[in-house]
Amino acid sequence: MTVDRTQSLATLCGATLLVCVATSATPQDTHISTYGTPGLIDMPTAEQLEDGLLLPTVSYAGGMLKQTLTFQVTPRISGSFRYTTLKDFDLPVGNRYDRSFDFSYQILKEGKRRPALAVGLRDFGGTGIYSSEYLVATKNFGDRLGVTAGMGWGRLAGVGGFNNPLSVLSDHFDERGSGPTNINEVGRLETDQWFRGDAAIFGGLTYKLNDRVTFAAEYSTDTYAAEVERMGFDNKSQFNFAATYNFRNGNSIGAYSLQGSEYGLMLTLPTHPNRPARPGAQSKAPPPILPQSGAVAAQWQTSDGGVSTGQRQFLASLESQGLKAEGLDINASTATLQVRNDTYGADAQALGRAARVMANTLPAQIKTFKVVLSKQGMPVTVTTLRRSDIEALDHDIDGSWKSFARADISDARGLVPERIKSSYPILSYSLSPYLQTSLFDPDNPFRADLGIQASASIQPLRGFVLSGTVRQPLAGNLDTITRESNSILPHVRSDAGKYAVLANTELNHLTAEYFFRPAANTYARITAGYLESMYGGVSGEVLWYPTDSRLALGAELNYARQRDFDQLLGFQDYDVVTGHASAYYDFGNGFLAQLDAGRYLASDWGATVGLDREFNNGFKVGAFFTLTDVPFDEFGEGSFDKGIRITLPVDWITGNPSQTNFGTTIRPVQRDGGARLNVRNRLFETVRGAQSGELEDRWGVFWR
Amino acid sequence: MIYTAIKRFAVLGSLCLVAACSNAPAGPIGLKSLFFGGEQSQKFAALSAQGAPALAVALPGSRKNTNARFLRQGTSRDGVESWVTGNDISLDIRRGMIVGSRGFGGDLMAADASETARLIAEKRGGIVTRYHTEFGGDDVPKARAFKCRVTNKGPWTSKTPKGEIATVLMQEDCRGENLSFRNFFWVSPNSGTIVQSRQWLTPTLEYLTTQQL
Repeated sequence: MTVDRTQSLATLCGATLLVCVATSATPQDTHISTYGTPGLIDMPTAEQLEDGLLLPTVSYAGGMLKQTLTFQVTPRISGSFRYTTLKDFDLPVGNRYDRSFDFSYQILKEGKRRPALAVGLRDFGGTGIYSSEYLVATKNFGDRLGVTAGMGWGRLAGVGGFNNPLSVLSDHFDERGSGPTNINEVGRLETDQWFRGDAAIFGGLTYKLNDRVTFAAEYSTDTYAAEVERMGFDNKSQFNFAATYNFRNGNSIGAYSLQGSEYGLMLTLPTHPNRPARPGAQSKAPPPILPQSGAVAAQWQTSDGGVSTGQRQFLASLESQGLKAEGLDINASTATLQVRNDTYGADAQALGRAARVMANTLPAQIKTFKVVLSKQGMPVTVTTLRRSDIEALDHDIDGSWKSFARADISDARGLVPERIKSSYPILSYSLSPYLQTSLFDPDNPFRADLGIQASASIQPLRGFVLSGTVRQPLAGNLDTITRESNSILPHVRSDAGKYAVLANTELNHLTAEYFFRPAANTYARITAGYLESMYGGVSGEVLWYPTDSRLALGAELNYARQRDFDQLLGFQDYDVVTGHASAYYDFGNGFLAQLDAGRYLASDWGATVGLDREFNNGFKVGAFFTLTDVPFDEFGEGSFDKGIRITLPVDWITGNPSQTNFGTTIRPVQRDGGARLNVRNRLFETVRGAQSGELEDRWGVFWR
Repeated sequence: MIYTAIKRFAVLGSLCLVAACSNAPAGPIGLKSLFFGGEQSQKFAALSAQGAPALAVALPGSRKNTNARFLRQGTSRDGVESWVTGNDISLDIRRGMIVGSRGFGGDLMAADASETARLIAEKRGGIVTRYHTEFGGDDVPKARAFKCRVTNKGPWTSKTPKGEIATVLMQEDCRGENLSFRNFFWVSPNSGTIVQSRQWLTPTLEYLTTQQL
């Protein structure tokens, strides 16, 4: 266990996650456009990626660099985030750095006779450079030929435009809205543009020469009007061509010609969260369940200093599996073990290891094993297993499902086995590198600091944790940030540059935390101290989360005071009472929704809506937005807070057991409205892994 | 420009993989120490001292010349032998058939090859069914079923560390959904025990070879 696992590493990957993710590639045969979405060259197709696929793409032509991350959210829905650099677009200032979001929905899947049909929006909430909408159909003939035809609006109706057919529905469709006129209007949903104004017809072909090589040709309805005017782009032709080479590992490299005047290159690095490089972590083999020798029972009789030899061996065996016993009760036929999992990403694997150790080292008359999973000293769930099942199912080809079906999981509150004396205090420390990034500053869109952080924690009593992290940047350019916040709200987050410039050795956090279970199905946390890099104060939280419930409800109240820019012990004048009521709902199909309503750091009131797709192995991809009573104009650039977030378990990358996650949140822009306090160890994430739903989702590793 | 962008991403991407150190019980097994390297466990040393039966195992598909010594650490109630290396990689073997692996990554969770085992022990040909369950990348076990033809390929002289041994070569050709593989078993004509073998486990691991030492 390290002190602040997910959160301290939260900044480690930054936007480079795209490439971290790409460590394991995966086959993918949908043709990809320069926009990083299913398409021809610039035109979209109606095809979709494999469900769950993450597709980072880089394309470059004629001074235009597009970096896109597309995620196939469901089999029919995909979303993309794009960061574009347009060289000298904003002369005399310089380059244009543009963020855009795309969305696509496949209305019809391709059938024997009918084509696939999809509708999509490009750049629906950015500066509007690529603002366009389309309805497109694609039909494949045989294994090789794909034919696409579609109708585009906005940028996709640059040439060959005709009166909008949707005008038969309403006159509103005749005129396309003007889009954002200044930076403060950027980031809103420009619904007065969608599918409005003239429309035009585009189309094209893809042809697979063989498994490796694909060609594409298209008639484009994009005239690159702004690029012609501002970048000296030459628009000679509406026909574009591409050739793509697909590597065996799924990556592909493509070359294309654009508008008859430019040549470009693109690279795609598809990754599927369900396909880590080495499926199944390379954890050490578990102990086999072997017939017990008669010696075991005798060992539990002989004691030495009050602790029997059997118990000593039992605890040592658990420890060798990376598990720490916090409590143990042995009755006539039942053993109850409270155990802390510091090793495995999935608590189900910890349960399996504990069950094996119990079967091998507890006396034979113990027929029932109760394993209490402990999180920050709180007993969360108790899983009841029968020794006979454990012995019978070890080598069963359906052992995973059968063992789950025969296990019973319930709330462990009140079930506190006798404390094992040696289990407290718990000391831990860690020394690790960190990477902190600052993205999308027009002065330099990619800044980062690499440094080293030292963490230490002590838990003198069950549930009571004292911990701290100190960071020392070693190299980087975060201290070159000169752009000052122009926010008219209190600068609750937008002074991040000042924190980076004025801090050297910094106290990342220094807190006392107490975790306890006030009632059945209920968890509580109190945290005081330097809560996060920008705030100190006091935080209290209560969570109601019955173990078999899809719904969890929480409430959090904080008093926070802004810390000095040097990130040492001092404080500034700004303080605020902030807090939220939260609802979490697990749809059970891999989607988790979260709603937080309350008061934010700038004293603004509002709510955050988040939706994450979770894969069983811990990989998560999600998006969120926050609307508060701060008017869009006062919020500034971006109009409201929003972003995407990705969590990547370290064991997914390395194959070695680990509980560490790389998490990153990418916001087009960080402003002061809708900003939340980053308290460590929020309860939902803390206890969730041990809840029955998560245990069920990951039960497949019980026997690993 | 694109190249600097890619390079920058690649460099930072590799930083993400920089290992952290802590007092946490990580117990990682690096790829390098998969077979060799890493300290021998006390358990392995004890088994070795007791003269436990040994098996030489190799991964012929891997680029490195990976081979390792497995020692038998015990037999379960249901007759599955557990074999282990000094760095805690294990194989479960029932009547000569590999029915489980742990610690390689992409492991075989369990298998039922009892029909194959019966034919091979009797050195008879026939058609059998074989079931494998592997640990999937999404943490959901994946079950596979195979239809296999077992054939007796006749007498064979096996070169083993103990010298040349007369064996019978049994071949098993299996087909499943999008997959096929061929296992070989060199069987002692008298005892019916498997002297050496090549067996397919999972799509990630592919084949392992075993040889009695």
